[in-house]
Amino acid sequence: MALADWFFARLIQKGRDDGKMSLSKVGLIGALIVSLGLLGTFKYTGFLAETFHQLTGFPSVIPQIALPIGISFYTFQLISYVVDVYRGEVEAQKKFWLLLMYVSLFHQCIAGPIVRYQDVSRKILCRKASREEISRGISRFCTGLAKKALLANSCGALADTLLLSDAVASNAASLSQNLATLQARPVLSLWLGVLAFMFQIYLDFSAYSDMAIGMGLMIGFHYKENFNYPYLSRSVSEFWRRWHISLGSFFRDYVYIPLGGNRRGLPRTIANLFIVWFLTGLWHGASWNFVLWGLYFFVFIAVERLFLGKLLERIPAVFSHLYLLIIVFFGWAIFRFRQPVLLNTVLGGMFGANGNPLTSFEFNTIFLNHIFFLLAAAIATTPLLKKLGERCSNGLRTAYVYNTVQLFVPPLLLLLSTAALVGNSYNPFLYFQF
Amino acid sequence: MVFSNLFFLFVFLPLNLLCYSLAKTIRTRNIIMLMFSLFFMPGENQYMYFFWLEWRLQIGSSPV
Repeated sequence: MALADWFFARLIQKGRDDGKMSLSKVGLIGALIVSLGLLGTFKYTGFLAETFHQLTGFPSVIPQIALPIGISFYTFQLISYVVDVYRGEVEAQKKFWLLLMYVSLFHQCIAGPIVRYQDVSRKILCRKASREEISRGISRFCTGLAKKALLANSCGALADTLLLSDAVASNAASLSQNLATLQARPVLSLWLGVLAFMFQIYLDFSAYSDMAIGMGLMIGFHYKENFNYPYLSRSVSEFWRRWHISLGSFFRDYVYIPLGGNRRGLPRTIANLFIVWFLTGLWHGASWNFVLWGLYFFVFIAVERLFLGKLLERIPAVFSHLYLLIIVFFGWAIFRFRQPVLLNTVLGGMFGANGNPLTSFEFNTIFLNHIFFLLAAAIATTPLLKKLGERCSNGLRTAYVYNTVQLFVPPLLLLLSTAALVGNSYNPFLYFQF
Repeated sequence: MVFSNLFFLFVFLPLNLLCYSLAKTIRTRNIIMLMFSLFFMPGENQYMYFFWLEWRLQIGSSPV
């Protein structure tokens, strides 16, 4: 894919330099066909065949194609590169191996952020990390590692205990057994399970971005922030400006705006939003629950654009925060379960439809055992510690203490994370499906 | 390979940073980053490189 896109970008550049835009267009179309074709083949062939099989009974054998790790991330990086060359925003890279280095750089190739070529093109040929940047990079990496190893993994283990692990829940062969397990769960167990998953997915994903940004800083690359405390948002639109920022900005710049954005009247704007959110859902995984998850957000974003957005700005912040958290909470329930029947059981069970008690002795024990991690996870989703650190660093008396503590925090976090990783075999990687 | 893997934390990343800091030119540094990234990509299946190497050596030592 990288070789084809390198070639097509050179073709586009030649077309631009010679004033032959038709050649550039050929290059762009060729690059898009190859990139999206490979992504579609590896990621969506099995999904489409399975859907077709369920509808028509054909094909009888569903192809099982192994998904190359990080394919969604580097496909989008290459598309952004080719389109930026076409738009004249960046020069095509002459050396293939430098483009290959950019796209396969281990910092960001498996779990993002989606780094655009134009953001790092200069740094590929000239970069230097200062001591201060290296120090910040190490600190950021250790913070991310601790978020992953100490908090996200604990929340993930709790979510798996209460809701079934992703591998078990996705197994169609054990559907009836999974259904029976979830039907027997007390009401609060399901609420806590989804809450734990809500914490896990943010902490895990933002932790990977922290580690990528940290490793970039250590060698002089400055990757853009990918998360900005999304659970503090006051609307779904704001949430998506703070969550996986590199993906949101990719869809905005390469899909939404080229489709016309909001410049062609309300019906067209809504249609464009529908396309973007359908694709956003599909990007997250080759399964209908991801499409449903994307369209779920489309509905709220469309409603906010129509009238709810202005209302949310006027009402007290606590209500708009609550609104966002409830929407996102149920969104993660959709994201979690690929089998619609399991999702129905969980959603129904959360409101007592399964006829279970509110709580049980087993649930109380699990809850009390994890309460520390849940509180720590809740704090980690807010900028509380960051603001506290800033306040301490600005105070005359506290600055010295703060700077001294800052020296010991990264090694301590590394030590604690290592201990957690050594002692705990539970260390999931959520992005294989991406 | 994932970032929260002990091999990554205590072998891969330190080795990468060491090689990177020892390199003098940007060209060498970029080559180092490319090599490490290509080794990183197969994740738990790094042994594929050894299979590939073995296969190449077998071809090299073949009397044909």
